[in-house]
Amino acid sequence: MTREELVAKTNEILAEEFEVEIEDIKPDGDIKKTLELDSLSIVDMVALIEETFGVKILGTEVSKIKTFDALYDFILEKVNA
Amino acid sequence: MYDFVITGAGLAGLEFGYLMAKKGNRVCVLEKDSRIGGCLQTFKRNGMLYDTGFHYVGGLDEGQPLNTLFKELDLLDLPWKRLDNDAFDEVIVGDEHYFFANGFDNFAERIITDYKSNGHEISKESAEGVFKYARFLEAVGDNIFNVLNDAPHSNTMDLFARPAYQFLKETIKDDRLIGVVSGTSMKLELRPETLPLYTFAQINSSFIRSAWRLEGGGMQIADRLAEGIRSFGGDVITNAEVTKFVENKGVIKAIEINDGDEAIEGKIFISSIHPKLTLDLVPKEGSLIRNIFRKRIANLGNTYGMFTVNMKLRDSVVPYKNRNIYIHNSFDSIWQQSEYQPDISSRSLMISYQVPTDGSMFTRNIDILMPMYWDELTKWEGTKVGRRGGEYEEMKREFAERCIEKATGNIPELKGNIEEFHTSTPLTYRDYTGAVEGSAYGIRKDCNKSLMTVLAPNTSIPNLYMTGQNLNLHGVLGVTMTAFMLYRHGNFKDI
Repeated sequence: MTREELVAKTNEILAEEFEVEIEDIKPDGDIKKTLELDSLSIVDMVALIEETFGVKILGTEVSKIKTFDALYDFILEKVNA
Repeated sequence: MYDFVITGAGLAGLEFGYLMAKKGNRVCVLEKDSRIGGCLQTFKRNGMLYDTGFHYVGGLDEGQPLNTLFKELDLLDLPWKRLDNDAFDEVIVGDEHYFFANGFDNFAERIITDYKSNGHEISKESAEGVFKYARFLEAVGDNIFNVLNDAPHSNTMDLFARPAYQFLKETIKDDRLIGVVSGTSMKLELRPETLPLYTFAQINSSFIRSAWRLEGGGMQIADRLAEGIRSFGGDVITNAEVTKFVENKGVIKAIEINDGDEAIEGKIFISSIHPKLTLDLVPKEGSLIRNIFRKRIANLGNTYGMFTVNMKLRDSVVPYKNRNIYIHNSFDSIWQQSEYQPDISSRSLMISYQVPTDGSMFTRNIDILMPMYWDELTKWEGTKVGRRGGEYEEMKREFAERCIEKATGNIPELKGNIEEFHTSTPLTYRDYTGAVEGSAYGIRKDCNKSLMTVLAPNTSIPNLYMTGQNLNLHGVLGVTMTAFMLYRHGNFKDI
């Protein structure tokens, strides 16, 4: 999977499941603010990404990811691992 | 206006309600059924009282975990009956017998002795492993209140993320011995890939401390808590099915019961029913509960259910045993019960004796429990109690006969001495308790997905909280711990 494909797929599922406009997802945007996440719904995001990409994300890892760019890199690394 | 409106009068709802009412809050507990109690319900047939979901508890001796919690709930003076110290549980595999003793060193010593007397050699490594295992259980029990007492964050979540089976493999090493120490764990769903070490350790730890039956049935716990709530000025209302949470400006304002017959207003709302059912009660339009959360909860798997045979025995023929009996076909089968077992005879059984109320040496009631899977019941999913048809009755008869046959192999006095018996399936359980798929232990916790399967009590609606066996821990101690976690940590700002 190329980075472009991964970005498109990630944005598509996040926009759909968190009910936000896809245009509002900017690479350097803050994930929590954009998707209006609290400590509960972060788990929903982790579950969604794990399920979509077949990767495993630890709680300690997710707390370090702030922007969408960082999230794409993180997923890409996991997918290619 | 109530301070707390609680949905579901099972153990969790009543315990939480009792604690809050005792503190001076106005509490209302709503139950859809005509009777309170949930899994604690008993039923009476021809003068005989039978338990349903309740059989025995662990850790009730002075200073032990359940004792500490039940003291606060004023439940210690019920007629508890301690099971035999040197054999509170018996595990039977083929013609081999193993006994579980109270006390962690006693437990380990007895298991090793029995292992040898059943003709097996034990390596030094495995013998040490059994002691190591016992000490580990002891430590888990010693630290059980860390979560409640705000101790520097305990390693509870780490243990939720570790597989129990792998821990046993690494510690005890011998597969047959792993079967033995797991042989009484029909109080949980043994699933090698997913069962968290914490769930396994916390339950086994409490019973090894001490094990107790309740003379006169589990319903006394529910009745006592409900009486207490009423004596503190609260209400426990039956035949009150919550049909909707009324959300306004981001908070729940009221609960609608029986399709709008009545609305009950409150400040804080607690749901002790299955989380999926809780979320179904929050209208979707304009709700603070997102669809992604609803979907995630709806997709969580549930543990298996139980087929139960409640037998009424002739007077003075079947000796009372002050221990439970677990029967397994093979050592390997013990950790395979979570997978559908098409052959009924390959399923494990638990046998529970009712304490004689007249001080007699003989029991009048024995219950047999056996895993039963939702997939084998889906064709009757749409039916109601007493109206499921002949095929269902035939299936239950077949299951009951096989259970009784297997039990009689170990309790010969049963032969010809069963006056009558009653059966129930996970469907019965679903209809009386609201447990989704009639699940015995609620949502399946998965050590690989601990963040997603061990649920938080708060929701995205600030005055809606959840509790009950589906959240964190199941069983009497587990549910009580879960209720206390909410009681101690719920940040109920409006009160």
